[in-house]
Amino acid sequence: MGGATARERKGSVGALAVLTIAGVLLGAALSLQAYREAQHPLPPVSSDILYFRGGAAVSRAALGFDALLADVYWIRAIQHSAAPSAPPAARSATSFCIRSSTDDDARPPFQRRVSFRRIFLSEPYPGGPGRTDLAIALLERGIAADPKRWQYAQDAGFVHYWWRQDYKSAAEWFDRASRIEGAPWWLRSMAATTLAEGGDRQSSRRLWQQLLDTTDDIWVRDNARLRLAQLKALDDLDALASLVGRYAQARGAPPRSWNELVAARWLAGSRQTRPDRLMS
Amino acid sequence: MKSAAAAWLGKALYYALPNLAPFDVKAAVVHGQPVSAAYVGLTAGYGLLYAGAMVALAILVFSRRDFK
Repeated sequence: MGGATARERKGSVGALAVLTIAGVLLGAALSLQAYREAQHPLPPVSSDILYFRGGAAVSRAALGFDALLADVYWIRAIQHSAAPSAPPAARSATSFCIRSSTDDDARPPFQRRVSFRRIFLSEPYPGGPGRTDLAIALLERGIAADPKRWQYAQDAGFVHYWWRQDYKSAAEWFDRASRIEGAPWWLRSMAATTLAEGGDRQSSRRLWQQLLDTTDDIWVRDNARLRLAQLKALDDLDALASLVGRYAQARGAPPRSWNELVAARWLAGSRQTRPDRLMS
Repeated sequence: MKSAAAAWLGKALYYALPNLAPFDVKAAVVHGQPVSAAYVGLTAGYGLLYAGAMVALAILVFSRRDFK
């Protein structure tokens, strides 16, 4: 019994010694941590960035979705560099990015990408970088790689027409597209109309409708639908303004509400439920 | 943190659990921020002391186990 008690006591002392050592070591570690945090605070990193050391690592991380990852990277890189706060170096990186990716784009399997990218590049920030110059450069490189593809010339005309409101250049590009073998007949009349009536909504509507009818890219299609809806809204606004003007002229005072126009049978239905039905 | 108890608990956990973040200096390196020798020494010292404390606790726990 006495031997067992002595052994237990010895064990307890040993345990207490080990526990004390553990406590001292842990205390020292925490003191060191507190000291290091006070003396060497790491500067905060403003954003979470994931760095890859090489293309092979990126390819493995993509899990087979290489093309999708490449497109997402391309879009994010351009949006980032197009942000108003982006430094000049980032802006020049955008140009490099476009140049380095265009050669591949011009080859037949990637022609749809050119259509998507020239719209994306032309859209103002934050929808895109607002770089119509790069969109035109992209299309020019596409034409150089595939001179028989009239769609590139038409797209260049589109960029001049819609985003730059440069109707003379737009007409020149439409005319150039119409001269390429296989181009549709209406491109010639489009060139003439653009030159004569540049900026009118009907021409714009025709361009966007043609794009909507011919593209199979979801983003481009949605963008075309949005633009067509905007053009229709502009038409509706004009019609309503004209209606209100005529009402004011006939009654001596402008209407106080849409209901007044509906009650007078100048407008069919309420503004909320039937915004597009005008009676006169 | 609004609750004082939660703040205290968070702080206790922060010190009790191993703090491995200071060992990762990738972000500082890629941003061109210097990592001093003193920082490396203090961090390595913390790692050794913490590991020593954990080994001591493990000795304490396993010395009382009967593995026969």
